[in-house]
Amino acid sequence: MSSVITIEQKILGKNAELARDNRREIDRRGILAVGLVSAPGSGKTALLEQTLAALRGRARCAVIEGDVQTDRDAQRIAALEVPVVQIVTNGTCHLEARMVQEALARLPGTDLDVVFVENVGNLVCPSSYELGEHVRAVVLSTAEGEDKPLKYPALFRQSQALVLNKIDLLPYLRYDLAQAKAFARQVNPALEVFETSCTTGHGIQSWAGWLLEKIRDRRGPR
Amino acid sequence: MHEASIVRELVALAVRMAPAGSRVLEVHVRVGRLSAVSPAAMQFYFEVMREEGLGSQAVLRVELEPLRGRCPGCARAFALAEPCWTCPACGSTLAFENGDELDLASLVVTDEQRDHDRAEDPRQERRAGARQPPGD
Repeated sequence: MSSVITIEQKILGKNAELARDNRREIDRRGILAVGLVSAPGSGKTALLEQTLAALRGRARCAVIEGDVQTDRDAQRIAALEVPVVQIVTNGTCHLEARMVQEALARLPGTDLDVVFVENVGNLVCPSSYELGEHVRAVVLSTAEGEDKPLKYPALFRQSQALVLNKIDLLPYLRYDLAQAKAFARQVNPALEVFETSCTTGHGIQSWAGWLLEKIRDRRGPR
Repeated sequence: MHEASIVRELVALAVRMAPAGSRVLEVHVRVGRLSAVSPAAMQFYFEVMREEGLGSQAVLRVELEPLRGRCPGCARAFALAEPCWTCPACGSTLAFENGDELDLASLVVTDEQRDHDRAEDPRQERRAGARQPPGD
């Protein structure tokens, strides 16, 4: 004899629970947590370097770096004298909430306004794992083509901002910027869209300004 | 390839939820169309990872849930088998009510206790033998 037992639980419920713990912890510390997701090579780390420079003196920043191998990204961030923790996933294609929990514990306890969480470069897998960030920004570089939001909708749907990076390459590419934005907005009409170049600095101030607004919103009236 | 991590969580959850002494025969999972999870990849990893506590009798059944909602433009209700972002009738951007499901819906398990009461049941002996954890 056999019987059916109704379970109705999220498979990744444990991760979601840890993500909620992470959120509680960063809220307790009064920090804004910003997730960065993208395919490998879209320029997440370069964008971070530019963003940290733009926020210098205006917000106290820290970074959690996620990579499959090496601490090369953490070295780039440390060179800017910003606190950074490197997560090496050793093959795992995404960050999980427990990894971020461990990393948060290794960051300075106070005196931070914003922590950036750079996910493993992957346009699919990070979408299943909540980490506890307040906002997620998906970075898409012009050389990747304009149709990626339609092909990989999950990350675009759960992000609040889209950073169209490497905009300086436009003269060399067959890339329809308006089409890229239209595709992204089909998948997620609420996306805040930024155009940036980490080579020329184009658009970095407007992206940093948006982040500062979010930081102010989190701090509330002090 | 995140299906490997997802299936590891699934197997652990199924082991936790199965009543003590029972054996899990079927694991029923519900996957949404926007969840970016491949049922075929889940099957592949399940056949490897079911040995971590469920045993080789356990079968994974994945049900792909249709995308449901109502078009904000023309109020037409829809249930889609494939993601589609604009309303075929009026062109409005569609809003979905679901799509992110990644749930353990139910388990089919052996009724060990009831079987035990029915000592004359010839299947009982076979099941008792098969109850040994794999590798023992």
